[in-house]
Amino acid sequence: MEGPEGDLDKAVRLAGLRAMLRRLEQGSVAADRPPLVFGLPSIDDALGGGLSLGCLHEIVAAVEGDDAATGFCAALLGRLAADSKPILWIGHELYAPGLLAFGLDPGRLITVDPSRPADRLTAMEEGMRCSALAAVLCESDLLDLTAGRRLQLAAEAHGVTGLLLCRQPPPSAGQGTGRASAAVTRWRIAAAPSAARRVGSAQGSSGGSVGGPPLLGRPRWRVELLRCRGGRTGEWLVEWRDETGDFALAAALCDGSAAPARNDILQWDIARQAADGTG
Amino acid sequence: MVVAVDRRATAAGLRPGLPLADARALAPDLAVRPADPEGEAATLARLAEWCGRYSPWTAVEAAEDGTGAGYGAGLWLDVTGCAHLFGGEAALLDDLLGRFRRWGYAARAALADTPGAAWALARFKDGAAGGETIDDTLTTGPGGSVVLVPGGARAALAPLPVAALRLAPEVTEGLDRLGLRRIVDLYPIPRATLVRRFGPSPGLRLDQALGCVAEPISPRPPAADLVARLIFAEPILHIEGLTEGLRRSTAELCRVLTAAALGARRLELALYRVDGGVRRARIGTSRPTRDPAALQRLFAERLEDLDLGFGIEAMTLTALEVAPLPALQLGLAGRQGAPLGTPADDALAPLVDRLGNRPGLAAILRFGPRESHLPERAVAAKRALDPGASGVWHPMPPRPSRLLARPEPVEVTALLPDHPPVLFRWRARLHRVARAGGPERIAPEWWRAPRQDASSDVIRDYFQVEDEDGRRFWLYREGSEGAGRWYLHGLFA
Repeated sequence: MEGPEGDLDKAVRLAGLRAMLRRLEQGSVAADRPPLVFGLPSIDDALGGGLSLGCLHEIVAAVEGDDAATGFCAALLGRLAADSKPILWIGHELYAPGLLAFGLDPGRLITVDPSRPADRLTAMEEGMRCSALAAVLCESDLLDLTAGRRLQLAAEAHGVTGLLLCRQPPPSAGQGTGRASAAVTRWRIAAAPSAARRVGSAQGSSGGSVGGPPLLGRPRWRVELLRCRGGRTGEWLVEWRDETGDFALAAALCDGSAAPARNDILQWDIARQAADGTG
Repeated sequence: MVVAVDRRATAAGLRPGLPLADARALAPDLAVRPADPEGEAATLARLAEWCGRYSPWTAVEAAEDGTGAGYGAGLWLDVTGCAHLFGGEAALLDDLLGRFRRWGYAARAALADTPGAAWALARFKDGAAGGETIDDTLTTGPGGSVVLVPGGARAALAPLPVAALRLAPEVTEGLDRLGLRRIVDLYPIPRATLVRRFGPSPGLRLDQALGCVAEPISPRPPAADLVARLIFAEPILHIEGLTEGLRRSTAELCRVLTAAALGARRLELALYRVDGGVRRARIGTSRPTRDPAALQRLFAERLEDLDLGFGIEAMTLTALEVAPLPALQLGLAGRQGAPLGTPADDALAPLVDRLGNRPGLAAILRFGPRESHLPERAVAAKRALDPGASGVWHPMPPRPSRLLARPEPVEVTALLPDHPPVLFRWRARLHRVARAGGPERIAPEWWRAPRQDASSDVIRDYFQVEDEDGRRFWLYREGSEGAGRWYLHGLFA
């Protein structure tokens, strides 16, 4: 009975169990799947190569009424949507043309806006079980461990990436990592003052129109990686460059004039300054 | 006034239409219940619905069918093509009667070539003797049902009283006075004479009963021929049994749909409960489908919400709305039933259906561009799987990532009339503007007739502002010049 076949069988099963444990510990489902790369070495290193796909990520807004987290999510989804699969966005008051600037084609989105929180999460789970989707984004409150685990399992089973966007930060979260979660990463995104655009030197360093405030620079976000399974936490000041569609570290761009100015608002203000300045 | 009487009261000499005082005089120990016409009608409608387990074509007898004449309420069933499912016509009627009796209804049933003959036989031919052929034209089942041999109406109706022709009471009385008491007495009388004396009704009813004149009956629910019907040997009490039944029903229906080159858009599952109730679940699909697995999944979620009561004894699955589905692509992986289309949409259809059939998740949309420069009109929300739901987005000036459904008024402090504000208060929070861009002037759509006090008919100057924390907002000032009101319309990421 206990022949060599039995031992072999046992060894195979043991190896299988070990592999399963390893997978559970690491939490990286798709080891064969390349992660989503930010293009910023410091962030990618902290994540251990990039944002792993086919799992659940939480993105929390720092303050209510701060929509920087939406831009961050749209930028991630825009990069993720390269394989032409659609994305389910369970959102509210989302404005499609505003997503274009973050490299996300609104035509790739299907969207639904249930009013009840439970319905939103139902829709999210249904989406996570549909392999035809690249990703599901759900605007919701933070989940407890059980609900998050359920979504995480759905993501692992079907390879759909889930983003949970929490636009209203939980009051208890404070500065720390907040509650326990089944998600692989948790981010906190806050808007940060943009760099001055130095144009129209006639107006000096302010760069604005006469008597008015200075012009807008590129969107800047304070990106905090609060928790990351298999990686490090960190905090970065990131700028979104819509003309090239990638992230840049703000520290590396002290000089705002490095990139070509193609912001439309900027163009108009130059025209406006010309009119005001001469008049 | 006595409305209805049972058998024992009839034996005591009571008749409908008798004043209550007279009735009490005839039978002092009479048990009286107030009549409830609405409740009776509702019960009758429920029973007619329940009879859908025998035939899709059921109806409640209307008042002009003679219900008001004191011969009891009735149901019509057209069992053409259904009887063999229950072991024959007599067996079907006996089954029906048996169930009604178990629920406490005193029911009689007859089956004939015409509604008129069936009506007459059900009320005036007692099949209780049962079990054998009464004469050449009638057979009775063991349960008391009466079945007319095809073509035997004339002979079978002959001995019945004229009241069996669904006539108004005064017509019946008039005929009675002339000695025309049985239907056979009417056969030799010329029609013209009948019409002159009693109007058209006796002749018409006679023709209807004999099948000389067609008599249409409006079925309660619209009859559908795309039905899969399943009768269970024993009442199903558990969801597992129903799931298996559902699997068979969907397979059966999809087979019918495939043969007809159709796909279902709307379906209804009806569960017939042992206690006479019917539970229904309806689903819709985003595109015509005849994929049994997909349909089964859609219904499976609804099954859990349905109250099974004391058990389900039959189920019908009906395709209420269908659309042509000719081209059939057999996928390599064996997926079947999806029409040719974009692969991404095909793969999405099951998801859209699952979401769309949940209550509270009605609108699954896709954004498309619309030719308008007004921000709130520039996006067209289309149904997710409608063809041509995507389009080309023209480049436009910076747009926010969130657009409020209604622009919210803000209090501002602006130093110069044409400049962005320095300070503004939104949702009780003060924001100090650090940077700003604009204005971008957005005029009303000139191709629309201007309406008074509509916000879309005023020129707006939009500013993109950033407060000291870096948060970005989209503000606009209403009105062309100077001191217009300020609103916050969107949030930038």
